[in-house]
Amino acid sequence: MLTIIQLVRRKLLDEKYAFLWVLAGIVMLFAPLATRAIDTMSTALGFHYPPAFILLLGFFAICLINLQFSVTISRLNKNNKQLAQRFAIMEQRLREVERLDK
Amino acid sequence: MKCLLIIPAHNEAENITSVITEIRSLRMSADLVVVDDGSTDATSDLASRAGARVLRLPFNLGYGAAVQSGLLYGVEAGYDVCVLIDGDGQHNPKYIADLIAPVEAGLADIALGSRFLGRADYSIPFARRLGIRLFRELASLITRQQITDPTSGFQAINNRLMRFFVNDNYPYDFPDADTLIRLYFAGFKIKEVPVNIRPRLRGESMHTAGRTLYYVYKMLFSIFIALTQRRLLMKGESNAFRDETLDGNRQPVGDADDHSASPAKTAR
Repeated sequence: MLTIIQLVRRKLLDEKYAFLWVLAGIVMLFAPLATRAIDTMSTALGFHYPPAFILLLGFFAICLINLQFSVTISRLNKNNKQLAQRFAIMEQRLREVERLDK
Repeated sequence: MKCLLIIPAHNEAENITSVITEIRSLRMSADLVVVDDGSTDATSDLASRAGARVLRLPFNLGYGAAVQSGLLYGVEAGYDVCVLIDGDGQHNPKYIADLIAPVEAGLADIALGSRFLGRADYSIPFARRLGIRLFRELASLITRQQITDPTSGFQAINNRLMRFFVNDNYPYDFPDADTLIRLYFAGFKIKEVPVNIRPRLRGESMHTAGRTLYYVYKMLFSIFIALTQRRLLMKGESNAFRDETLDGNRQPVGDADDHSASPAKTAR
């Protein structure tokens, strides 16, 4: 949690993208206070070994965060493509204007 | 009819001059733009010297994105029709008029140059031939019309379809059977024209063996996604018909000019 807070403070991590990490951190931080509830829940879901339930939850959280990254990368990729296309067209127009000016 | 010839090129310094010279020798009333897809060789300079306009992408975006850049340029400059020609010399420019004819006559929104209706003067590698065969059968089955060469990059496209393509409806890498299926669902008319495809003048093809597996995965997945988008495309509700890329105006494509009929409304 301290690392996440430090990264946000130094503006190396956006608050937006820190959300899932903060959520995962809070769950990890407070999970030991609710061992009885976790035991009851994992037994009800058929887990013979309660920590396995915690590990599974952790795995899902990491999958979710990775998925968020993939969506973000796809969006950035698209923006990047559109910027490059616009740049190429603008540059061509500029060359055309400069050529006509000569 | 205002016509633009688009040549996407990536590291085609060996071929680009002869391709442009051959096109210019036909003395067509068409403008020519080379989209240099982040080449590290002299493609841009040579194309410019040969008399073409050049769009220089600052880095390599892939074949599809390079073509889309040319289409975006064509839409903004108000061209009625554009023809895509590969920068490696495989496409014989004498067929350009044959490709434009059905588009100009309103018989098709896109005319595809088919080497299987015409002639391929080179041997297509076995794996690639197999891929073409699989996806052409799939495309023919779904579009209910004979598609013989879905991989053909030799195409003529009208303004309405150009606008569709620049609005986030063109793949980054290989426009293929998946794109044709999307076009069919969106109500665009597709027509194939026999052409003669030649071997590359010089240099290596972009279709390397390593890409074959990715190609098969990408096509199957993309066709599956297209099938799930069928109703959306038919209704014209996808972002296909939102003008996102053009000057940032988020207006329906049809509002911009007299090409106003929604693609989904056109007769198939």
